[in-house]
Amino acid sequence: MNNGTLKQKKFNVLDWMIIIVLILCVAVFVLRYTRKEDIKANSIAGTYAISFTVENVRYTTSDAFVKGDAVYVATDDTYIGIFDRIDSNNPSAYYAEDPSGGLVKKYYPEGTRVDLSGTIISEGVMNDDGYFAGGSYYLAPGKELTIYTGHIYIDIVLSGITEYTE
Amino acid sequence: MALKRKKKAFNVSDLFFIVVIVAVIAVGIFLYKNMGIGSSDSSGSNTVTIEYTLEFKELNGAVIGHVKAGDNAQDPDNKQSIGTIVSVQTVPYEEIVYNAEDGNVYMQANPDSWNLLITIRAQAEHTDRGYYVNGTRFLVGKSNYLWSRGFAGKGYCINIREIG
Repeated sequence: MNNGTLKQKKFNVLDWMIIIVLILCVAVFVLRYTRKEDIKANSIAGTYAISFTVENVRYTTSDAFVKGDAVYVATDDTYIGIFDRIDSNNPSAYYAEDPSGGLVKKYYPEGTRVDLSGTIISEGVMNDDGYFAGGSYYLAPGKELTIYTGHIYIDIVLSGITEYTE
Repeated sequence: MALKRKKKAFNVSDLFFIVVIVAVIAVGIFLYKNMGIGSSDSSGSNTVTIEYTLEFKELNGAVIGHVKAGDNAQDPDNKQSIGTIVSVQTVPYEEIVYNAEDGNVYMQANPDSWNLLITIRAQAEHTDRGYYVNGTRFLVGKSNYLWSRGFAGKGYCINIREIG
């Protein structure tokens, strides 16, 4: 005889899967913020000067670096600081082969190809793991980046990160 | 006898859906705040008239001479105008060569290769991420495709000048 009540659903495998996924999410969340706190606890937050080099570009390229422009990483649009200055602007090196088969270091003529170096001012934290722009974006000397500002899009190689002093 | 339906209890599935919805909202807020999605990019932009030059390198002589000032330029990706060509300059493609006799290097023109410098005038929105002409972004050092009546190719932007 029908007693007029539907049988309550049992706790099944799907429910267990959902519980496991939720636990994993919470665990990842906790780990992520624990790690962030660790970084903060052992770090020095402040303003840093990131120096960079650019090799073998057209001689007019330096005109497109504008002081005060926001600098973003092209691959993920992360903001890393503001452009401060061009530090050097010299003809690019050219390695020619001499008649004896050796290499001779020469430089491109004026008004052709140049190597540049410059500085970006960045807010971030420095700790034992390195420098993190904005507290989370890892940067270190040797890292190659494509950056852009409101005026230029260019490949750079980071050459140093030091505390900024005006 | 009327069938009496038992009221469903709030279960794990409901909780899961709530968590998913909260996560979607959180991601939306994150994107809005950090990526600028949804924000008015034009609030930090200004409309300017620019002249920019695209350099197309090492071209065969056969493709030179067909493009001219006054032609419209188009981005082949979005089929939008990227301005009007105001000047076309053809210069020899030069390579660096080493003269072992005097020990110097010289730029020597390749007799079969040419660089085409096409300067285009357009109205652009200038933001801190570049100049946008009908959705196409221009920055010095960035490559762009161009279609026009007399030429199509991929060139690098070598300068941008605001003229108004």
